[in-house]
Amino acid sequence: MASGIWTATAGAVARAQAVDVVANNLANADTMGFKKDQLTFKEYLAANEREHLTADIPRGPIKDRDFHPLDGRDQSFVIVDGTTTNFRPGNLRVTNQALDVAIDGPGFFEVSTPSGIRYTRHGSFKLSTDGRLVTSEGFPVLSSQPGGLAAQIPNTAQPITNAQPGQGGLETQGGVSAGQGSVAGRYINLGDVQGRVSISPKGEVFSGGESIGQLSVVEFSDLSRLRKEAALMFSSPDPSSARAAERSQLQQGVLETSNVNPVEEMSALIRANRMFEHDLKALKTYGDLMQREVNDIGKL
Amino acid sequence: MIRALSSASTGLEAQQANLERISNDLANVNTDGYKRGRIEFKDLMYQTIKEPGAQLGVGSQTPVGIQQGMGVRVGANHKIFEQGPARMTYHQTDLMIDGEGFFPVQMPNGEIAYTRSGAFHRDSSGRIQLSNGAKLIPEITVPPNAGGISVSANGEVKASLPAGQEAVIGQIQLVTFVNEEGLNSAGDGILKATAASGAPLQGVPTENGMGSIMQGALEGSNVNVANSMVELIQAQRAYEMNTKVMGAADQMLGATANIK
Repeated sequence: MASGIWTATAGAVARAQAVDVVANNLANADTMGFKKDQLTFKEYLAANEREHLTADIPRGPIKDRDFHPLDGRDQSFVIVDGTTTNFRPGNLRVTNQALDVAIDGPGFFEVSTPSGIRYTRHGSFKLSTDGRLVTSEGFPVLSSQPGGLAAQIPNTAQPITNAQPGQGGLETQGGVSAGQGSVAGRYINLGDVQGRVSISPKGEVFSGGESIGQLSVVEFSDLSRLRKEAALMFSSPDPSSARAAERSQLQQGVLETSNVNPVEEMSALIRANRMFEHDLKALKTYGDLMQREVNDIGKL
Repeated sequence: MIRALSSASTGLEAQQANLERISNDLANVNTDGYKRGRIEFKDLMYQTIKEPGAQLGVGSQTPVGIQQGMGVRVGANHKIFEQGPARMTYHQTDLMIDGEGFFPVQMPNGEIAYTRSGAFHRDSSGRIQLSNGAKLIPEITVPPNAGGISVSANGEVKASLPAGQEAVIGQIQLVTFVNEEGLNSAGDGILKATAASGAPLQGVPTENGMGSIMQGALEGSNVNVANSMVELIQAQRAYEMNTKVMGAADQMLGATANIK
């Protein structure tokens, strides 16, 4: 039986996955702070999976294939090797909202969620009822150190690894009493301060002329190890790899748009669609060949 | 491929919500006190087929994983309380808040609500109220013999009496909220406090960050038509591209079904 049919099938399956990725990217073409995914394919050589044999030269006439005994294992299949998130920056859209912040550079905001610290580039923040700076899901945005700038503690902006989410009550939030190891101590509390909020390029938050804290912006040396989660959040398998941002600056009143380029996505869609058709054509040809094997060989 | 179909349909749904928001904004482009909306999209969860950074053996890890997304959803839809432009009406009981704050009003059913649209009128007994019957809190009654009223920037309401005197007849209060985006829009320019907005913080105009009152003006809608049109184009095209993905997925499913 023609084993090439599986090569064509592998191709069709991989193309279908490519269409899934394009569909997700295009669905998020208008999602602020979204980073698009890209698929990488890998050639899977069945022939490489076995050792090279020393040619067993038979007595008698020698044919080409006697030197390369592959037995139908010379196909190279294709499999999806991985999805990489493209961290290319999106465009900036001016919103003039005081709590919209875009990161100019490779950094991420730190957000405390019930399942631990997450990272996001979606800087559309809100104020919760008690005045904390939160994301639109209500997760508190973290400052780079507990207690605000007024209580300078050395060892600034180091990510806290032993912190437990949800630690500490409301009364300790934003106060130095929450201690250095606690995430709750790094919540940014704007509640009791009246006046315009301004955020400096370094992330210092001022409200009514008073310094509230510094938004924590972290960078990673290896972005490919970030795991994508829903709602524009990323998690890091190794939180200690996050370090304080050096190359990132913040811009207030601006949001970063999705980095999906519709032209790229549509051409990727067309390519995947057509390649899928090619694979199916090959599949059909194998099917026809098999049909002839069944029906026509007997007639000879 | 079925996922491509459903991802594209989440995209259609999200863009439709966006389109509805834009059309509501454009419909209210001349509504005094109207605040434009904003929709925030969020990506849906990811199916992780291969974990990034998973151990392959001692000292070696997969450099990238395989994660497939499932589309988009509307994460939030809220109002943007940017100041609208002033529209001079020279009508005595038209009041505009220049800056932060809302007028507290009592609805005809007794409920307390808040509004930025200060097109007030007098009822038969001289009480200042909105056209839907909601009365200003604290209640201000214009005496029947008053020639006219004047409202100062700090909210003091004076009536000019026939004898050429002026009498202070009330003080307008404003309220602010910690999180005004959490207010519930009830139509008619009326907003209601919710658990998300927090309790109203009362104050006198021009004090503690409150805005000032401007008499004879109304706050126009803060919808920016040019921006809305750009958003409309984007939403329509994004919608179109999602339908294209659907078409491609459908074509592929059709082709698969026709192999045999």
